[in-house]
Amino acid sequence: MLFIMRSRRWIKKLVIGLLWLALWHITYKLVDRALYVPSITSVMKALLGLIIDVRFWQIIAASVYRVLAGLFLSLVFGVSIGVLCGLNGLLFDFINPFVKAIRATPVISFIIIALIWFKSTNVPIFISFLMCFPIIWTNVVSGIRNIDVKLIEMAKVYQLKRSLIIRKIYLPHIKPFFTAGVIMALGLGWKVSVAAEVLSHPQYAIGSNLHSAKAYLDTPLLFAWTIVVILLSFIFESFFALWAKESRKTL
Amino acid sequence: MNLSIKNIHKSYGELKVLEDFNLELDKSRIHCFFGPSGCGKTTLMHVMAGILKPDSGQIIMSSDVRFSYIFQEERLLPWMTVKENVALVLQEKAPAYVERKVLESLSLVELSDFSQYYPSALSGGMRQRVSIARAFAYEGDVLAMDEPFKGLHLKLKQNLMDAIYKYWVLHKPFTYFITHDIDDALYIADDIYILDGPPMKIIEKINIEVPHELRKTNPELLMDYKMRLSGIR
Ligand SMILES: Nc1ncnc2c1ncn2[C@@H]1O[C@H](COP(=O)(O)OP(=O)(O)OP(=O)(O)O)[C@@H](O)[C@H]1O
Ligand SMILES: [Mg+2]
Repeated sequence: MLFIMRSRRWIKKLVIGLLWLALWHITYKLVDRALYVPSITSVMKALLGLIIDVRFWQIIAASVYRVLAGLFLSLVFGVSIGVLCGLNGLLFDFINPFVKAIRATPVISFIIIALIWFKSTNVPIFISFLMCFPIIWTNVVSGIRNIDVKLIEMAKVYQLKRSLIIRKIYLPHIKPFFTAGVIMALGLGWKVSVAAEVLSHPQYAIGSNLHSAKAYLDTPLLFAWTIVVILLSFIFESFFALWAKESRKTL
Repeated sequence: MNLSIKNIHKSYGELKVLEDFNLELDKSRIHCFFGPSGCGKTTLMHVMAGILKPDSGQIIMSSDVRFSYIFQEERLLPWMTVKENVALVLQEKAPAYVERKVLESLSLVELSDFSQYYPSALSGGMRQRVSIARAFAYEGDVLAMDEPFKGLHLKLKQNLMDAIYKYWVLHKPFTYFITHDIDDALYIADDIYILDGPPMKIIEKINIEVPHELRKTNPELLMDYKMRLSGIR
């Protein structure tokens, strides 16, 4: 029974996917200029050409590394500074305008500044850090501020150590806020990191390849790379959604 | 060790809950606070335990006392099992001791079979019992209880009160509690403070002079007290 329902869902998904491919094909026929809209077969051919090359996997690894490195930095700083700001109002007032300013600044300004400051390979790391940090920070702060003061009172009456209060009460409490932040940050971090790569041209990078595909007017290749970005984004998202579900279970 | 409450003032905005409140509690007796809802009993107990800072006045007791506190609400951590919630307050102790203490106090509140449950999967009365078990496991120098028996069945309530009394005889903690139930008050209290407010006033202090051992077997001895308490309001 379950199997039938599952396979039905799959069939539905497959049909929807095929419909979109058909739409693509129709558009291709209508526009009738491969430079603007390439054919499905040419994009698939380009994609296949990429996948069989070892360099492709090195590029993917390098780009994924940059996003994760940026995300990791934003987690370290976002959680630690977020916890402190959640506990200390004065520190919050100090950090808050800075975070607000980061949020209001267009990514492109940061990318240009970062191009001056850093080596090309580090620019995307810095950018994905800078974009993810405010998200993590905000979620952690609101998690801490949301805590039930009655539980903290209880912990203090029973003379629990400060470190224990943080580990056993604050951290489990902010976990769902934190998870939501990570999922959001991941989606954003991935996009801005690729954008930064387009401008900073590291030797191994998805963004650099998008850029050169554009430079050579190789539209199928451009599409192929974009599909790669989308697929990776999906993989990341479902991986972390799964992780979030697991961690909710243990809660 | 006695506990002195001296010239305590505590207001919430305009509302004066404690106004020049004074009270002297004797360690050798079990005290009960009895009074209408909203008169300031919980506030008083919070001030006594240092959870709330009074606007002025002093609480005088020997320093560094440990409180076994049963709050009016259960205050359990939702992400911890029953067992973990109780064990939480015993972090400094050796694992074997913790294990034994936790099981002991859970069996006292008849929750041994539920040690692996999360609070969300328990009934209100069961959660209340976890909070009682936590206070017992901690073995504080003070046993402060804010309506500890609310929502509990008579038989279990009596068992718990017997256990509290036995524990009190053995360890002699400083013991005081809040209740709205005359029978509970008469069953284990030595001194009952009849309160009104806010601002909180002590209307009357009733000393129950019936020995604890007789209260279960000869409840008629408590009749006079019961009439007096029922007559109030
Ligand atoms: N945090 C608070 N902020 C503002 N007012 C409060 C607060 N806590 C209590 N009060 C007020 O103080 C008064 C006394 O409250 P308290 O909780 O001490 O009453 P209580 O005697 O314990 O009542 P109950 O028997 O219903 O538990 C009430 O009028 C209440 O509205
Ligand atoms: Mg109360």
